[in-house]
Amino acid sequence: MSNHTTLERKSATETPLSAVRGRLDVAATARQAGLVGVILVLVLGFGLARPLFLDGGNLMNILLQASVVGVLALGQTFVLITGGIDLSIGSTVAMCAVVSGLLSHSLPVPLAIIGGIAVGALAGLVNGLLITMTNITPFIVTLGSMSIYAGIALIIAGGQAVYDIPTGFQDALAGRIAGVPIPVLLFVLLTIVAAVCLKRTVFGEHLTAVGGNAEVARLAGINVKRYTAAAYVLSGAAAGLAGTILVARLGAADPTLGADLLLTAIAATVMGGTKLAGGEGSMYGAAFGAIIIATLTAGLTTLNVQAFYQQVAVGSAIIIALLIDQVARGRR
Amino acid sequence: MRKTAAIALASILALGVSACSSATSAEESGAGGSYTYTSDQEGVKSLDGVALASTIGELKPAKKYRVAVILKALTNQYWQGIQKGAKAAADKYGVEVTIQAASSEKAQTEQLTIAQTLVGQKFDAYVVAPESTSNLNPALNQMRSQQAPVVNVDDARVPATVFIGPNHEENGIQAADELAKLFPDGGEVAQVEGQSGSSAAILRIKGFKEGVAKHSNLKLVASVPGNWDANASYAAAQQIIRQNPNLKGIYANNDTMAIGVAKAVQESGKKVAVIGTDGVPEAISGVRNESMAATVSPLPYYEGFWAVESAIGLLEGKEIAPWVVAPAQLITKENVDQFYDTEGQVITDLYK
Repeated sequence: MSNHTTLERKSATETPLSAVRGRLDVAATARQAGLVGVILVLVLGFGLARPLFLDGGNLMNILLQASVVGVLALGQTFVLITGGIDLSIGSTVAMCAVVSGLLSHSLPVPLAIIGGIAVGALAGLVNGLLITMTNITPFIVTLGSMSIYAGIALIIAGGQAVYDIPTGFQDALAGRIAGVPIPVLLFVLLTIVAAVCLKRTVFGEHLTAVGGNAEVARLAGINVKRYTAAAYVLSGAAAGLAGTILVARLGAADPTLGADLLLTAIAATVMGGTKLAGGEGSMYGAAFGAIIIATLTAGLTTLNVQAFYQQVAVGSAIIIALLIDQVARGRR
Repeated sequence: MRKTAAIALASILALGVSACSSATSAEESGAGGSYTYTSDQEGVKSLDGVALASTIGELKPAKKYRVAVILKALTNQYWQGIQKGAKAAADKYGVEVTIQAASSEKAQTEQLTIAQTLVGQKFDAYVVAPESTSNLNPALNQMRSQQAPVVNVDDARVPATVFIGPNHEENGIQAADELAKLFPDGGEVAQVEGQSGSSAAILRIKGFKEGVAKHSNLKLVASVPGNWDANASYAAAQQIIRQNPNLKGIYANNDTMAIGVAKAVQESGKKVAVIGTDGVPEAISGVRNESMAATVSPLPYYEGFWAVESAIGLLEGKEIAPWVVAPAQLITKENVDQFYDTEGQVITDLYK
């Protein structure tokens, strides 16, 4: 529904469209308020069961755990909005981690970090070009590149973790500013930037149009291929940043890193209200989704629930979130 | 919409910031201990695990200590063995143990989340089996700043107070020695390797290659990846057997893979000796029914037991060598009943 409105905006008069947009905003706000509510309920619930859960260090720790998945979810949201999917982000994290780790041995810290992110963007560009220049679906292309990038990470690292990461690297991305871990600050900042980019810029508008209906978008004069490829570049760059953050946090770059991040990031994205079919997505939703998953994991660990059960809980949370969303939409 | 979301984010953030500063100061004022965290360094002093109890002496914990145990995935019977041993030791000494594990052996960041959450609950001691040599680093730093003793059990070696684990190279060497013994006239042998990047795999591969080189009658004709996976190893073994008609033996870096290899050998109808590592129940029954020639086991139950025992010992001020070496016990049809009951479970009172 949203995709058509985005396009009609060009031809139709201002008033009914801003009304539509207003309605959409109301729906999105309601959903996000719901997600924030879920976070509060979870935090208070776990806090009642285990008061230590409400300890500030623990809450900050949850945000810290959410930040890497959150950054990935922001990137994935761009891709899902175009109707695609990026399965290669976990492997891209590993590849970029290794690259930035190795670069940090010979280059100044900022260049090593930029290098890692640039390799991520490049990996995304390769995905994007393959998808737009061939008829192979995003699922297949990124399934292939998932394996390729994982292999490249192992090859350039020689199968072993890269150590001796300079402390400057660790301080730059894993230190604290005014008590707040830098990954958390980056996560918050990027969420706002990505949200503005998606909802308040021509880029975001066109990207949404491409995902809503590529053919209509093309007829409206939007360069569909360029926008699609750009989404994968953003996703790759986000994975690059996530990889460098992990290197800084762990003080090492492990080529097998990131295997468990892909599905968590996609889960956070869809929990936040982004449609797999494309044409609709929310950056704040993705961020809240990441925080919900991190809160669940931390809370269940606090209650000594084993990881196998935690998977069931996280899976259920995704489905329940989408059910609530559907019911809310049905009513409107 | 933006406003609501931004306010929500900001409030969560603010909540964290204000609360966080108080947490740091609480952390720093923790009781002072004098534990070292150097168990991963080259050439540290080692102690045979079997001799641990007698070295520590009598243990009567002064209080009901709380010990957190963070393991790799419990999908592998090997880690279940460690879990059982840890519980048994906790019961024996009357301490409270919380055991958590990641959902898979690849879930590095998930394990970090679990570890940092447990660290937030400030346990007296920690037992960790990290997924990789680096994935738990931030959590380990926090444990150190809490001045808590850290026991590293098996596989990836990290800076801890005590490391409990096998000499992985020794596992590979034992396998090569056994093949040399089985085939005095010599022959061709092959290896199915564990996940690339895993330190256990790297060391076992190295140990086996060195072991084979030591015996001039053995010739290594193939060493291929099996990724700790039974199916991948089954396929790899089929290939190796087809390409090397004179093959006498295959060493798989762990039992999960050895079971896949044994299946391929069985289907080929050839006589190829299969040796694994770990000593999981299915491999034990494989040794009993002769589908496997042997497995080299570090006896995971004891690793788990000794890990918690060491943690308590450290809390009680006992001195323990930085490396408590788990056995590299060769299990063959001849000695299997000495170590395992009929169910394939390790006998729990071998070292009293």
